[in-house]
Amino acid sequence: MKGKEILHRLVQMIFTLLGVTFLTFALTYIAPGDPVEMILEVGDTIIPKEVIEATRKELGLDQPFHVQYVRWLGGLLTGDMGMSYSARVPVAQKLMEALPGTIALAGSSLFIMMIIALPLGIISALHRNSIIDNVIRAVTFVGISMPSFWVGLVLLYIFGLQLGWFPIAGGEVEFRRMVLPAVTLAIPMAAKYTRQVRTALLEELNQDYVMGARARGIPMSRVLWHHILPNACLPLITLLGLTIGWLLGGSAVIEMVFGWPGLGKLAVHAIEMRDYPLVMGFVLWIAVFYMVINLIIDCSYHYLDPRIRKGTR
Amino acid sequence: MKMSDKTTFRVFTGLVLLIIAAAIFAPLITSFDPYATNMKDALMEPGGNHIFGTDKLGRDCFARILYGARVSLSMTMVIVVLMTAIGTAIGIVAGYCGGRVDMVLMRISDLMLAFPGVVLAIAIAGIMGGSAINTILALTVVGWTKYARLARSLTMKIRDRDFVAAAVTNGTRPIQVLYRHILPNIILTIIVTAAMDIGTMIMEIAGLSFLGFGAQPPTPEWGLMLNEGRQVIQTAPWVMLYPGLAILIVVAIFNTWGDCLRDIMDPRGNN
Amino acid sequence: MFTFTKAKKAMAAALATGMLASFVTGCGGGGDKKADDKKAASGQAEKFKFGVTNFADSLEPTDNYFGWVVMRYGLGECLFKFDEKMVVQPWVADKWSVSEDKLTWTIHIRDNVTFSNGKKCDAEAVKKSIERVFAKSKRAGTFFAYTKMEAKGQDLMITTKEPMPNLNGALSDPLWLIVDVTSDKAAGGDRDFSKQGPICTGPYKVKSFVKEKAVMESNDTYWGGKPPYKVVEIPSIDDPNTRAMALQSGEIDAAVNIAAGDMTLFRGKDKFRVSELASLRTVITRLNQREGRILNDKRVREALVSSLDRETYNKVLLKGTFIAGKAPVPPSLDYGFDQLKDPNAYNVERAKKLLAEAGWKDTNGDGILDKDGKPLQLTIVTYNSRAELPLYSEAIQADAKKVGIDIKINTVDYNLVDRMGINGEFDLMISNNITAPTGDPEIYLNWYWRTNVDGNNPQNGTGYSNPAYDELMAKLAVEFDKGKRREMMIKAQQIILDDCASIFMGYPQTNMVSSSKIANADIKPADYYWLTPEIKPAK
Repeated sequence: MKGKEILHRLVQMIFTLLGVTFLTFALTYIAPGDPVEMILEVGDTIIPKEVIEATRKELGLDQPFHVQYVRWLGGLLTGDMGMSYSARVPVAQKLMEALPGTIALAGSSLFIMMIIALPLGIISALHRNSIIDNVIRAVTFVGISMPSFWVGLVLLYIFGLQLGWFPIAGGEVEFRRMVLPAVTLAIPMAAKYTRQVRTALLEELNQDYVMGARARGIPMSRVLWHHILPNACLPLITLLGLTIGWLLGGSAVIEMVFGWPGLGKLAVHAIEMRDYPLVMGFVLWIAVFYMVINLIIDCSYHYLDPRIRKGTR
Repeated sequence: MKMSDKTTFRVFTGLVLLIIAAAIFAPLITSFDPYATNMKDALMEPGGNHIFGTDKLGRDCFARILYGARVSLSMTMVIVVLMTAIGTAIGIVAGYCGGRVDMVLMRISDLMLAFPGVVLAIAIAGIMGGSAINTILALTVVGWTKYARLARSLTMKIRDRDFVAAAVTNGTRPIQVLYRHILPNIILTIIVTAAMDIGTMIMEIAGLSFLGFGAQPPTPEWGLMLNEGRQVIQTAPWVMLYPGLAILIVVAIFNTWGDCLRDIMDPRGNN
Repeated sequence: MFTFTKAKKAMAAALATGMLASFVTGCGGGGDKKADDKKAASGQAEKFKFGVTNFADSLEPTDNYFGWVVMRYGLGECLFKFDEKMVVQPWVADKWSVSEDKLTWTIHIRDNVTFSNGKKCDAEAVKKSIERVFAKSKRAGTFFAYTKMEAKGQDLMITTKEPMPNLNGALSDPLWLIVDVTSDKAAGGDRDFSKQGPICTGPYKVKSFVKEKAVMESNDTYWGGKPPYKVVEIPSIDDPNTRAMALQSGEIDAAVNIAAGDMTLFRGKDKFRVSELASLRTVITRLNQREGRILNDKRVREALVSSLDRETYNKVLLKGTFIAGKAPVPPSLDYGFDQLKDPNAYNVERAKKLLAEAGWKDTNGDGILDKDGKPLQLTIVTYNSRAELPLYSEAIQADAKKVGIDIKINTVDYNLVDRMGINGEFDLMISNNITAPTGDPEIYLNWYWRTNVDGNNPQNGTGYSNPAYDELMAKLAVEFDKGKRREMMIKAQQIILDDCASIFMGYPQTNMVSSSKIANADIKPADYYWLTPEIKPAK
């Protein structure tokens, strides 16, 4: 049952990926600029027309759209994502270089988000409609409404510049440099997530079993840890999947603000340089990554939810 | 509880109208032209004539933020209307027809859900070249699927109801059925969802402009102004402070308004 | 519900005011910097951190302008170098002479120079290095051409077909920095020049290199004595503002090209040492005047130039860190700046009149002039890595608008600028250019304004062509007399101005700002001497 479902999902993923490749390829195909000139150009020379045409033929770039697409797809299957126009190295290599930066940043901001959002959400739910609940909700509300890149600038100004607590320039993956961008990324996510933790908990709190347990004199803390939290896990994990999607996009902007050497900064530069193979590689990677994350999350349902595990739902 | 919901809704509707009015009547509020450069007065601190100071070309920051509301709000409106209209139309057709049409449409929408919207929007806007039109295009392409899915599931819920069946047996043409019977029944939910998206859209437009893939100089656009402010953050922090606050306040108001609207329309609760 | 939304509102207001307050009051104080420049036992200081902006993906000196970076990072050296007055001085070479017929140069290589791998640098090695440049770079031929090159011990003899009055100046360009060719992978060596850096003769060698950050280490066998630092970290901080912030917070010990607006943060402060200099650069706006382009009409070009208040851009917007532009060659070089006349100085009325004469009218009342149903719309191409360029572009945009010209700004990556310039993919293109790559402006005046016939002068992508100018430049090429050369170049500049071929926006001061704990971090007129062995911890 479970294996079959995962298989089904994998097949679906392959079709979706096909679509993604088609979309990105089509996008760069209609984009302005002649790839051949970009490949040949070293910057300060004029290349004879004949050389351009010969190279175009050699690279198969004179072929119609579908031929080029199939060829590129074939390359992908063997792990060849093409060469970056600007850096003249394989796209995969460029992406690999930038990957650790993004993973470190995303991981730490998720961690920060958790340590903020879980306690706040729980407190908020347990003290529903109290002053503390309202304060927390108001704060999270502001958090959601703040543009993250602006938050980044403000943090940079206060903690980097005025107080001098954290380094300002990016350039390398290093703990102290990561603090400000990670916090910046975490703030809006934490705000959103706090509200979701609260909602999920409130739903559980209203369930009969909680009333029953409380009536039998079981302490609230025990009910919380043993019953409510495990049950509230499921919706929270789903939402985590969506959050990661936001994170991947949001990190591009934040990486630019802080000059953090990750995939997002690489992609923005690639777009500015019209380095299309690199852009395509980036979009594809993100798509695969996002789908895999969501697949893992769906699979974790089976493990976490006894009802699904036993096939009663 | 019910009454107070309505009260807050009224208050926030008032605030929303206030923002829109500020955008429309910007020339009455400030006498400064947001495009008029006065280079001799570049980067003046807030105070005196320029309550928010001036930017690097000596333009009045307050006027630029005020006129910036026009840019942000009109772009947001176009995007929201476009993606709602496209998404709803496709969703209704898919939901009503079912079968192969449904499958194809939904596979396309799956595709768009397969990666994070912002990443795709950056790629599209960036590759097509920064401009307001391309920003609108990129965000619409990314955003319509949500409405397609919503409209589809709502349509499927009601398509087998009696009144629809009655209309069909009466020989009403399918397009008429969709337009007269189905659309009116789902449109409210769609509008509420769209209202809740306004804040997000304002933010995403600003984000693209901040990266340089959205509105181009000298347009007074908040994200672009933040980008310009970033370059003078040490010597003139006000240039980046106020556009950020403007986004924060406007997004906050629209978000709350959307929440209130949903609460009123859907008393069942918080989801 | 309602308490919540009320709280929301109150909170939003409170937060807004709070943030505002924190901004207005500021939060004084700055981070203390760790003193990491304490001397080690070897007499060398441990580490120097140098914030720069790097455009090079690789360290292959013959690619693009990457040789600049190889030289800037203290890795590569040429036979000759320019002093503060741009006079050619010995470097890896120590003596030279020119034959009677002015065709053969004899250059003597210093006896004690070795490459960082310990190999001796003799005339044969230098010859191979020069041949390598000719084999790999298409730009080589724009400097000189030789008919014969011979190596004898430490003596290198170069014979040219025509007299080359400025050969030693040409060989001072970073393109000609001396590499150990035998170590190149392509020549059977074990070194990948582009990733590991070439083997050169400079005070530092590459420990690791990526575009974002280079780490250099001491070349202990350096012919000029042991370098002052064991390790030099060179992060590339592209955003000028971030560079200034990093310097303030002590993350880096020195930085190049602090933006105009940020200089006030460093001038006159005890913690910092500022080295400023009128540079040899000009910010040029190229005007694409090819057939069919709007700017093909000289009157429109003149109108555009007259509409720009360059005085204000430089004095106010750039806070006097730029000198207002007029002529191709900056006043820091003695090529007649004061005697040159700019027929297109700021004059809005004249601009409007010229446009009207050229047939441009605002028929639809949108504030933008039009002709034959087409709006007067131009595109300006710019790049971000130099802070003044976007500012100039937007100032041009604002001023041009006042006379009815609509200008769109297209910001591209620096690496695209050169190609777009060559291909003429622009109406206006603003860039910050060096004017004396070989010590005098001859090459510069050739590159951008000599007629380009079928790509034989690729840098002139604007379509500008004036036979009188070409003739003058041809004469200049073979003239040895310094006084006559100067007169010719002044005349050439006046032709460019009279033809309204380009706009000269301004001349930057360049700067290097360092912590006061560092000595001799001086900026030089030539833009490729950054990390010199003179930079050391202050006593």
